[in-house]
Amino acid sequence: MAITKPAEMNFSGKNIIMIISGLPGTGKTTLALSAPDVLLIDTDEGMARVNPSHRKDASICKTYEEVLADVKAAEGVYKTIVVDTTGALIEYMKDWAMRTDPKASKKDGGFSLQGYGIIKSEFIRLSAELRKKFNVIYLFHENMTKVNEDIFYDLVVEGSAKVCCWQPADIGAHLFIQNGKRYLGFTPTEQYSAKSAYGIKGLVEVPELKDGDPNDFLTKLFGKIRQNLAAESESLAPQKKQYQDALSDSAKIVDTVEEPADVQEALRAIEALPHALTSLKEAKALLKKRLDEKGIVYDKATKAYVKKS
Amino acid sequence: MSRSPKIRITQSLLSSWQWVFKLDDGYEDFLRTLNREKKPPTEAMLDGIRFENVLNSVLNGEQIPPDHEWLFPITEMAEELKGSQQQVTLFRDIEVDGQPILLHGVLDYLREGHIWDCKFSKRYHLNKYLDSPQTPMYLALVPEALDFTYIITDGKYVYRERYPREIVPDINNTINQFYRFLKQHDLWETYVEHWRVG
Repeated sequence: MAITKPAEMNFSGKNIIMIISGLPGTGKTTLALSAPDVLLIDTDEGMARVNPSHRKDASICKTYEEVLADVKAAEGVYKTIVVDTTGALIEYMKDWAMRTDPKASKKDGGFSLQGYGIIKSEFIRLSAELRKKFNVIYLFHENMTKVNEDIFYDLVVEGSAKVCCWQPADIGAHLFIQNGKRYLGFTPTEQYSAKSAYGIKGLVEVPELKDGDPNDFLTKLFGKIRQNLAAESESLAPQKKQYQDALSDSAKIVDTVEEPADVQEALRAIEALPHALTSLKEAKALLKKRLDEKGIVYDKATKAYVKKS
Repeated sequence: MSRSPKIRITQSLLSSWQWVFKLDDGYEDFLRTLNREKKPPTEAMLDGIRFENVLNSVLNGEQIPPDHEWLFPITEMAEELKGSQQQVTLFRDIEVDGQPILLHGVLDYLREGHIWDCKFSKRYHLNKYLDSPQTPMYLALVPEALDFTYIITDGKYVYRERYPREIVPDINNTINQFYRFLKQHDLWETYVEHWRVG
């Protein structure tokens, strides 16, 4: 039996998928290395730009198959996989798809539309597979594009992957420097894409790393996410129980409605129940469905429920 | 002192107004919506309706044929939406700057504090619904809801845009701007004429 009560749920082992995007030079790689027990998949020679005192283990691969093999070998050794950069990983996937699936290539040698479909599916599969064993941080370079009069910070990645890469992510942030300070923007705006969840939202300042400081910003952030998840689950548990009870009781009341004369009493009984979350609105929707089934309608002229003629 | 009449407002009216600033013919299209002129559904709308009908049938217990063109997105969405109430019509009275307003909307799916809206978009791009007035509007219609999720398909893949309540601006801001626009463009009387309640 796999049913768990909210009070017994444990989020301490939940793995997190995060996207960090930023212009070159904003410190994405160093920030990503602050996650717990990192293995960096270095497809972009990002480690070379990191202060030696903050470097971690890296997998330097030239093909997608090598990436998969190194990830397999990392199981049980590392807690976080950082993909630096995801745009470059997608290029590896394109090469892999063209070598292994004839549908990925056009007759003239270019990459086919079906090929992009193969990459989308593979990216989603890989993310689901990685999440079982690791936290995952997908790093993206950004470039600035002009939309009307505004600047938009766009992910540097092949078009269709730009959309699908956000799907598995729990949270995502745009890393930028303003007045000498670094911030992660977790709430999407007209200027950049982001993903807010688990109480992590808006702008979060990333403190400057001084010599000797531990590089542990994301380790703490992931800890905070797990704390928030546990707190949210705990605070919602009584509401969820009340919600379930209210809906279950409402369903029984709704089942008693056979004739127009039964409706007002059923409505009163439903409204008198102790409701939580959206149970009252859902119970009324259930009642409405029942009335439709029984051919009962509200007559505005007589202000009463009647059988549909 | 005479009280202002209560006026209805829907997300489709607000969305139509937003297109005024995005499309060359947005203003003409908005005027048709404001005047409540019926428009024939576009092909994209018909696709969306057809998709939602299949999804609702599956949610109501029907089997989807294994060779169906939308097997994968329908299966994925049905798994997420099972047990939800479908097509929940809601009204809520609010007041903005002394103006009584009736918010009116139909939620695609509602369950356990979560609202979903199903979109069929052949050319979906990230954050497509970031500034959609549907988000604050529906969260205002269900003050007890925790979040609002657009669950989107291009017919092949499923995408999501989830907006927790705490990052969504109040609907009053949008309504205020909308009313200011109507008054600046001498459209207030037209609005009252066509959207007055009762």
